[in-house]
Amino acid sequence: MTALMQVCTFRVGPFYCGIPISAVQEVIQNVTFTRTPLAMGAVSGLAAVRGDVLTVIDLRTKLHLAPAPQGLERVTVIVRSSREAIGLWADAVEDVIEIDGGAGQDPPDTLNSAVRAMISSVYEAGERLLLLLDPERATEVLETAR
Amino acid sequence: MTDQTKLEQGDDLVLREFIVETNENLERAVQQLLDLERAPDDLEPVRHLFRAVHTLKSSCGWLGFGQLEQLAHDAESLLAKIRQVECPVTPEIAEALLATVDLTRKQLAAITEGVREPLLDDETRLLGERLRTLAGGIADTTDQRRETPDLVPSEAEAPPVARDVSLPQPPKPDVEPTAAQISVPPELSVRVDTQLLDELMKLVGELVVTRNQLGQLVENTARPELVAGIQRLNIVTGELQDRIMLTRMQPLSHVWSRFPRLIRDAANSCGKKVRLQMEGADTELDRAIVEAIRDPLIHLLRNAVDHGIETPEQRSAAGKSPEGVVHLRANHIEGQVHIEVEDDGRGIDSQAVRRRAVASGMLSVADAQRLSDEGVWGLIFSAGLSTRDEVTELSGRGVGMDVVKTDVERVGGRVEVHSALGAGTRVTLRLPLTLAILPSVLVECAGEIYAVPQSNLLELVGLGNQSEAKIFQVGEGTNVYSLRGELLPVLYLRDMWALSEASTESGDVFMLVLQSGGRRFGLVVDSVLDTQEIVIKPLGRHFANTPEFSGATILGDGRLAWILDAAGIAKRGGIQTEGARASGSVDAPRSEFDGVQDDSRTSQMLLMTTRSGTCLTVPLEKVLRLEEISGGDIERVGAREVLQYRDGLLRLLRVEDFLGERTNVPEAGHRVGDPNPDDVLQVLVHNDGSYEIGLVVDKFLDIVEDRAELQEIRPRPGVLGSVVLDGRIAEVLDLEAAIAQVTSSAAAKAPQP
Repeated sequence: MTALMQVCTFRVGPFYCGIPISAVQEVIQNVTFTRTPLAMGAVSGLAAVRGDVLTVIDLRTKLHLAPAPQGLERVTVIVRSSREAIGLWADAVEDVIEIDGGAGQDPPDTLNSAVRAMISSVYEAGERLLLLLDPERATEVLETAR
Repeated sequence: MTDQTKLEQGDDLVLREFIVETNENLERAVQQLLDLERAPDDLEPVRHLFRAVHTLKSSCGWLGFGQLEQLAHDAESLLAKIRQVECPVTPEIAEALLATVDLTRKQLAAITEGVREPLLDDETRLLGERLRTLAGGIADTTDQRRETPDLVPSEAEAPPVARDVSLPQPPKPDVEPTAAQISVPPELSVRVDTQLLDELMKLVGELVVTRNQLGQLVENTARPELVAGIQRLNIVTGELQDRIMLTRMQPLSHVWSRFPRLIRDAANSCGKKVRLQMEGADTELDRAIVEAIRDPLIHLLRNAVDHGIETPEQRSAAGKSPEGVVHLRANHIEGQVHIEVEDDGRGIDSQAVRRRAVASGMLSVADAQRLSDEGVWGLIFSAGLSTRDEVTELSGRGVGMDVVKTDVERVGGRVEVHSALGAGTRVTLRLPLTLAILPSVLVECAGEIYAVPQSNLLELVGLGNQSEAKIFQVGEGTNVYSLRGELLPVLYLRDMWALSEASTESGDVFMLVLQSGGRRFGLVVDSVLDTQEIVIKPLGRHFANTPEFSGATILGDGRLAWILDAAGIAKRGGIQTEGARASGSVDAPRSEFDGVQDDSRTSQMLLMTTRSGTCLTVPLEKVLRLEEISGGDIERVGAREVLQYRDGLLRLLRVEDFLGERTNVPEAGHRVGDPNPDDVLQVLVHNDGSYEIGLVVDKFLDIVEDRAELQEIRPRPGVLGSVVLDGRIAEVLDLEAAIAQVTSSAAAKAPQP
C-alpha cells in the first residue's frame, strides 16, 4: 500500500534530511538568537519567535558534524516535539517533497549509533538519500549542562 | 417559568452559568453557617441560607437534577422549621447543613465533568434522611411541610431563580464577609476564558516589541508625521498593556473565602477553639499567584491550628483566652503584597530547633549556638528538619515548611518566620504583584545581556578598573570583597560560563550585591545597562538542569536576555545558603605555615584590633575561617578556654593574653568570673596543618593589599614585626608562637601562672 507523506527537506553539512511536514511548525530564515553561555552539547541557545522563546538545537552537533563555518546563514526549522516548539538549526532549507511512506529503509548500520537513533528511516529521493528525522529524537539532548 | 421549558441536553451555557452561580451561593452559605455556629440564636443567617437553598432547589428542578432538588428540599424544610420555631442552630444541624453543601459541591463537580445526573444515590438519600430526622426533632407540632410556603413571605417578591443579592449582610466583626460579588448588575461583567486573557497578554507583549522596533527605525528617518504616529502608537500600546495586566488581577478572597471553614474543621478535629480573623481579602494579585499560594496558605493555617494554637485548657493555664486567634492579613507594601499568617499560640522554641538541627547533623553544636534566632527561623524551612513527630512535639512547626518555601519562591516571593515562645508565630509571605512583569536590572557580560530581578538585588557597586578592583583572592578560586567591613564572597559571572572568553583585564567592572537564601554575595559583571520591566518567558525542557537561569526575556529592541537566578548562581558558584553554610563545607584552602614574610609578591593582610586598641595583622592566607561566637559558648577545660567547634574542640587564645596586654588579671591564665555570655567575640581560626587554634580578637577591620616590608623585627614576644598598612602601623602576629603557646600550655601550664 502506498501512503504519501509530505516531508520538509533541508541540508545539514553533507546530509539531506527531512522531517514530516505534520511536525514542522515553520521555517525561519533570520531569527533573533542568543547563545547559551553554558556548555550544553547540541543546545545552542534561544530564539525569539513571535513573542515566544524557543530552545535552539544545532543539528550539526546532533549529527556529529563539524561546527558550521563562520558566516554561514542558517535556517531554523521549528518543530513541535513533546508539546513544545523547538528550533532545529540546518544549513539551508530545500523543498517540500512527497515520499512513499512504505518505501523507507532502516538507516545503514555504519552510521554512528547516536546519529542512527534520530533517523527513523532512509529513502531514495532521486539522486540522493533522504534521512527522515524523528522529531522527538532529533530534539532530544542527553548531554545536559555539565 | 412556564415558557422556560426543560433544558435541552447539552445546553452548556445555561448549565455552566448554573454551576458558577451555585458555587458562589454555596461559598456564601458556608460563611453563613459558620456565622450561625458562632451565634446560634441569630436568625439573619438562617434567612439568607433559606433563600440560597430555595434558589438551588428551583434551579435544580428547572434543570432536571432530581436528586439535588430533593436534597435541597430537605435542607429547605429544616431551615424553614428553624425559622418558624426560632430555635437555635445546634452543632448537629450545622454539621448536617455543611455536609449538604459538601455533597452539593461534589455533585456539581461531577456535573462539570459531564455526568448528567451523578450517581451518589446512597449518600444523598442518607443525608436527606438525616436532614428530615433533624427537622422532625425540632419540638413543634406544626406540620412543617404544609407551612413551608407560608414561611417565605419576604421572599415572595424575589424571583425564584434570582441570586440572593437583595439583602445587605450585617457586618460581622469577627469574620469578614466573603468577596462581595453582591450588587454587581450582571450586564457589567462577562466571564472570559482565562486562556484567552493569557493569549491577549502574549500578543500585547509582542506588540510592545514590534512598537519598539518600529520606533528605532523611525528615529533614523526624519519624517515628522511618522514620528507623531509612532508616539501615538506608544501611548496606546502602553495603555493597552496596563489594562490587559489588570485583567489578570484577582482578589485574594477568591481563595480566602474557604478558609473560615477550613479553620473551623481543623479546630474541631483537634478539639481546639480557634477564630480566624481576615483582613485585606480584597487585595488584588496576579491570578496565577493567587492560585499558587492557595496550598501554602492552607498549609500555614492548618499548621497554626494543629501545632501553634494550644488546647483551651493549656491556653487557660497559660493565662490566655481559651479561644485562639489566627490572623490572616494582606496588604500592599512597596509594590509587593505581604500576606501574614499569625497565631497567638505557643510559638517556636528556638533552642529546641537548634537541638533538633544538631541531632539531625545539620549543624555542629557551636554553629547552632552561634546562629541568631533569625537564622533559626530560617532552619525551619530546611527539608531536613521536617520530620513530623519530633518537630511537631518540640517546636510546634516545621512540618512541610520547605514545601511552602518552594511554592512561594516559585512565584518570586519570599517567606519569613518570626516567633516568640509562648506568644505565637507569624509567617509572612512577600509576593510580587504580578508574575508577568519583573522589574529587573539589565547587565552585560562577555557580550551577552542578562536580566537580574530587582528583588534579589541589594546594591550595585562600581569597582572601577578591573585590575584595580579591591577583590581579594583567598586561596584557589575563592574571592572576597570588603563591603563596608563585611566580607562578601564574590563570583565572576564571566568565569561561570564555560563558553565565554577569558576576562579582558581592562575596562571598568561592576559588582551586583545579590541576596539569596539569607546569604549575600557579589557578582562581577562587565557593565550595567539599564533597569527595565521585563516579561518572563519560560525556558524549555532542555534547561531543566540550569538553575542559573529562571527564564529569558525579549527586550524592547527584540534581543533576547537570560534572566539570572540568584539562588542558582550562588549554588553553582559554591556559595552556600544560611542553613547549608552552617554545616560548613566551604573552607578556605589550608596552606602550609611557611613564615610570614614574603616581600617578593603582594599579599593580602587581614587587619584587626585587640581590646586595648593594638592594631594587628596576619596574612589572609593563614586564615582558615573567621567566626563570630558569643561569650556564653566558651567553655573551660582547666585554665584553658575552648569552644565546641565542628565536632571537635577548638582551643581559644585571647590575643591580649598572648601578647601580655592584660593588666587587670589577678592570676595569669585566670580571669575574674566567666566571660560575659552576651559578649560577641571574633575568632580567627588558624590551622598550621597539624594544629588548629582560635585567636580571639576584638574586631576585624579590613583586608588590605600590601607589599610592605617588615620593620622592627621581633620587638616583643608574639610579634614578628610591624608593617605599615593602609597608612597605619600594624603588628604582625607570630602565629607559630601562638600555636606553640597553646600546645605547651596544654601540657604543662594548666594551674600555674
